[in-house]
Amino acid sequence: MDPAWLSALTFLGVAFVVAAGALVGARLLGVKSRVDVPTRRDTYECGEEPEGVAWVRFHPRYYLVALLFVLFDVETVFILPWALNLDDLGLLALVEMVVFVGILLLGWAYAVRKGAIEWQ
Amino acid sequence: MFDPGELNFIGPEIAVFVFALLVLVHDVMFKQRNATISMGVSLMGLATAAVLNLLNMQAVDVPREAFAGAMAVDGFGFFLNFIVLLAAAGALLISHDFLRRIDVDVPEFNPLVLFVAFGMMLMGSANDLILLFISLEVMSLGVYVLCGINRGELASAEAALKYFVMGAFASGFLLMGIAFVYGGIGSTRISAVAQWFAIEGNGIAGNPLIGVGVALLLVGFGFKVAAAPFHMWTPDVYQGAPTPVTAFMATGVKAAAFAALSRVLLVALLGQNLEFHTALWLIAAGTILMGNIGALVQDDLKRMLAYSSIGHAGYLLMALVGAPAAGLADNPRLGGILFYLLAYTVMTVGAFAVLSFFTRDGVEDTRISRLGGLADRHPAVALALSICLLSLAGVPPTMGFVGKFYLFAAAIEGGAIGIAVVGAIGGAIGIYYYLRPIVVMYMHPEPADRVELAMNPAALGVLGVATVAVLVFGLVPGSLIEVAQDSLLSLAAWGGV
Amino acid sequence: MNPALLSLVPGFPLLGVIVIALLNRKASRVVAGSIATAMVALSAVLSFWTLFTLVGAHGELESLHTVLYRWIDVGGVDVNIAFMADPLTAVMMCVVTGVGSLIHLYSIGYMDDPADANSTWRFFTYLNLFVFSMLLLIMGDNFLVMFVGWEGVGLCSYLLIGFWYSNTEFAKAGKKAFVTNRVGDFSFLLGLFLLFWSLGEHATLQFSELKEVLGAHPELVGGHGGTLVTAICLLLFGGATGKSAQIPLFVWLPDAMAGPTPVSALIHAATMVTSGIYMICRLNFLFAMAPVAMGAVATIGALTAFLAATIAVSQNDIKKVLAYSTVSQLGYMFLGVGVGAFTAGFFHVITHAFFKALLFLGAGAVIHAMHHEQDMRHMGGLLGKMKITGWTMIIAWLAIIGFPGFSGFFSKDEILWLTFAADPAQVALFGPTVPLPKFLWGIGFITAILTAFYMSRLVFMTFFGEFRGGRHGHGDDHGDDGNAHAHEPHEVSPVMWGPLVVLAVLSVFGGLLNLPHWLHAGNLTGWLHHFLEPVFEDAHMRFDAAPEHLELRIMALTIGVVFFTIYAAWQMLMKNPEIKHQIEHFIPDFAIAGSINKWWVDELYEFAIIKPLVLGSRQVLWAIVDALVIDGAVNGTARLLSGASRAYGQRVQVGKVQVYALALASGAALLIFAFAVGS
Repeated sequence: MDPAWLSALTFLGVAFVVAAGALVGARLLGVKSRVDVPTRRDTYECGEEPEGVAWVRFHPRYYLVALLFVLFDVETVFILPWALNLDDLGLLALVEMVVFVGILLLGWAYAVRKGAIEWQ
Repeated sequence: MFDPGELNFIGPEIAVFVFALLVLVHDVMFKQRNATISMGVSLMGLATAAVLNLLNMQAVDVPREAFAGAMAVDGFGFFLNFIVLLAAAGALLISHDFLRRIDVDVPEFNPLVLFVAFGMMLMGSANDLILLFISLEVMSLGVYVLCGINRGELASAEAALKYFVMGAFASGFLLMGIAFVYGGIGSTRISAVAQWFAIEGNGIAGNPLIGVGVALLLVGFGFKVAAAPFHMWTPDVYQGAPTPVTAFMATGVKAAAFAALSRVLLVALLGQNLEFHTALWLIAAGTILMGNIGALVQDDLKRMLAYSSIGHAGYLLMALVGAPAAGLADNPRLGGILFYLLAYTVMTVGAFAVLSFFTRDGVEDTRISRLGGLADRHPAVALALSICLLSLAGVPPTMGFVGKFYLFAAAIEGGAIGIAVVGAIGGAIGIYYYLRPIVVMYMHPEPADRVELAMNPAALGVLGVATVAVLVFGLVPGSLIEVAQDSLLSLAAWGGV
Repeated sequence: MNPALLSLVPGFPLLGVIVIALLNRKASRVVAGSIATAMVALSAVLSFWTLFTLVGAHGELESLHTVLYRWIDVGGVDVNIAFMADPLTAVMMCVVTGVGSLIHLYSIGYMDDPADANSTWRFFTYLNLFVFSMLLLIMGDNFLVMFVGWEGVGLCSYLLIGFWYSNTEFAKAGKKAFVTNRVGDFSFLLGLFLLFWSLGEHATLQFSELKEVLGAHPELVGGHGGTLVTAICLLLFGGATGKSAQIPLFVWLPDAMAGPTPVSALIHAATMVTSGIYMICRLNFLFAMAPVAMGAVATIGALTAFLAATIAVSQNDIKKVLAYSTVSQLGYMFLGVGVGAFTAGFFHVITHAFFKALLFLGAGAVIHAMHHEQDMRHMGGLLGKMKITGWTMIIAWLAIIGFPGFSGFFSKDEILWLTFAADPAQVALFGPTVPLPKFLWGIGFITAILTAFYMSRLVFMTFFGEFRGGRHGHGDDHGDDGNAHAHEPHEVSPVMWGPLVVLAVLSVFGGLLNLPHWLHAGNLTGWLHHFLEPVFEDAHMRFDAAPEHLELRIMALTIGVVFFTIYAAWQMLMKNPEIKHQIEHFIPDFAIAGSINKWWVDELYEFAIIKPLVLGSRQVLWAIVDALVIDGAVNGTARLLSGASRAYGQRVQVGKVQVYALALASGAALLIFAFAVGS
């Protein structure tokens, strides 16, 4: 086998061993109890008592707001370097940015129309 | 420097995109949404794109780069654009009445299909792995949503989630693969990768970075084209997604992903690199057998077609195994790949058009037993479905036969006899399960609780056109084959194989 | 003429097929018939235009050619759906569409049985489909198109023989025709494959290219007289014996008379059955290379002519007589092409198409008038009741027996003359020195006497003497027209006698196409010979090169015996029946019994081939090979595969995303590992 590939394979093997080792080690070292006491099924066997269920559902509006934020955040990422170099880029770049912002605006209008920013 | 004239080359893409925005504005912004107008404008967008594509096709004789080399303007891309536009049009027409029946009133449907088509078209012309990845994601994100468009239906939601999770996973592989290849070669241009491999002594031996990168690329593409062992999502997702979406996935997504894979393989990877041939051989053999054997005992026609689509991916990979070392011109039969993608699109859309008729109270019921007695009730529909299925099975004189013939010819001429034998075995198995629905239609009695076929002119039109095309191009494939071969040979301009 | 128009010639009948099939029951007899007739008539117009274009070009235009489309391109061989029309094709096209349209017209009148009212559309669909296939057969510029037509006409023949399929006998006759033809087709295909294989890298399916290739590289098929070319020609001829009803495959044609009489006229007399001769004419350059095969063709032709004629003399069914007469006349044609006189053989194809179509249509008119009575013993004296039919039939009779001046006289006697004069070296079945041609001429000469006798018998029994009808027809299987029997036979409608008159005119003047030397008719002397010269340039027996002095003598000899035979037949059959009995004493009993029982050929085949085959299939092939071995293997494989499929579906494809992801990741690991090991 090619020596370069050998090192690559070794890397892969180590990664596998570490991941598998953690699982196998826990299984080997962990104490296995045959009795089913209620505390074993608790989220924590010590410390705070959990309040309610762990599968809490977040309101999807959070996601919508987050998405809208990302939308305009990314816009800024593009617009800033563009603005700095506008003198060199010329008219064509202006047109391109108008198109870009136009499309984004359309997306924003869509979001508004769908009621994405109405918090009910 | 950027030349605005190059925008011509993405004219079809721009057209689809702009029309998608128009439809979005119409569908979402106005209170009163008119489904017919929405459909009409969407189809107009596809037609405009087709016309622009045709103009480009005639204007560009010699393949050339555009946008600083990110995009390849060649016959291969033009041909794929036509396939994508056909698939999108078929899916839209089938969906028109179908969505109303399953009571899904989502105004985003038509724009999403157009956006997805936009991504697919870019994929076929991407000469840069980054552009390829972005267009692939544009396509995939849209398809994830389309899969789950029927939110009320558990199966649809399950399909969307499974596809999304697995798709994200596979995209990770693909992106990682691109990164590795970039790390090893220093460029993401497909032609640059080709040039690197063309240098004497360059190969994956001694370059594990590139080798791993290529392996991960193959995983990512293998997932999208549903090649074994990355195919397992296919039956669940195809079955769960609404029928028009499944039709679109089976045709458009498959064609676009396969086109991108073919471009990468034929331009950059195959040829002197025997390891890739071997890997491809194994994947192709596994895909053919998995798809065809899996399809054997399916009782649901949609699920069966999902497995069959895996099998068809296998046949296409089989042809790629026959890629010659000396240059594409050595094996012009590889043009069968493009022809077959088109043929597969046409016959699959036809079959799914019939499947879309099988709804009861807004729920799909596509079990094969539902087909019983169809030949008596609707002889024309039964005949058309039979023709599409026979074409999928590769029975002459259909388009499917001609396509399959060229795929096998490509493999055999490329010296890949072994894989052709595997393909022949798969094809023989295929005959069985494709004939089963036909037997049920013609020989079994009507089930007691029969489904009234929800036939509608749009889907019937799709079925009619598909059936006629399957027969006509099965009998007179000559000129179309020539176009497909020329289109594929245009890849030779980018070096590599 | 624009060569692209050639595609329309088969195109019109195809259009007819589609239109009538789409209309199906909505098209009445007259509507369906009119569409069908019009389509064939349009083809006929184009065919004559083609012919006149070629005639007008005075040899400067060899052929018209058009490619409809490129069908497929496999293994270095381009296969086009392409048509061509050289002089041979053009003449044949005119015969097929010309006679065809007359018979279509006639059928409108003939198929008026109310019991068939719901199926006449089917009849005309098949009839048009037949014309379409026949045109493919003759116009194809390559073997593939020809073969499609070759099989197509066989199919139509089967469909039309069994047109009244509710009658088991008729359906069986259709099956017999089909199976017998398949045997011939198999031989034809073998011949084709052998030819194709022998050409190697020069392989081509196109006739003109084939001719060039063979001209440039005769060694590919073993050179002149080589074993390979002989085998190819014999196999191809085997196909011809099936389609054109020669020994040993002639048995289907007499049974084929179960179909409606216009079908017998068009398919089983005038056109389809001559396609074997046409095929040999088309490939004359190939057959000319194989003298042994030519000898076989001529010998089989002569023997068939004689055998069929001996059967025809004792048949009482009017259509059976005509059927055996057809077999016999086809034998003449093979005799002609076999001795290298391709034009003479083909000339007889044309004239025979005229008079035999006329005979069948006339017989059909008689049968129609007699309400499906076909037994001549119940006819007689019909000339008085059916003037037009009777007189046209008499013309056809004079034509077929070779009465001087009528068309059959010129064509048949030309075959006999050229046979007599043929070079034994080119008809070398038993070696180049055996005077086989003289011997074959003898057989042909005796057959001519027999022909004159049985045809005279037919005409005398049908049209002369006393009317012996009046009983119920036994062939009346469909429709109850009991009342009709009360009526006397009377003349048929104009739509039926019209075609008879046209064909009668052609039967009289058809000989003008190719007059013999001694008439000194200027341009008309050997006109067909000169027109077909470019096609038959390899033929041995050239009209102009043959010894002229024999021509008149041999014809005179034949004329003499024909006149005598007619006189003898009249005496025997009409005047003095005692003579007949006296003569019968001189003939050995087995000969009479043989003639009546068709020489037991059917029984022989049944005993020697069909019974063992059926028994072997049922006891060995079906019970052991099929049921045990093949079914076992197939079912076993199917069970194995579906088991694998079910196991895969239940164990692996369980619907868990985790499993799918694991498979994907394992696949990736495997790929990387494979690359690592491979590099």
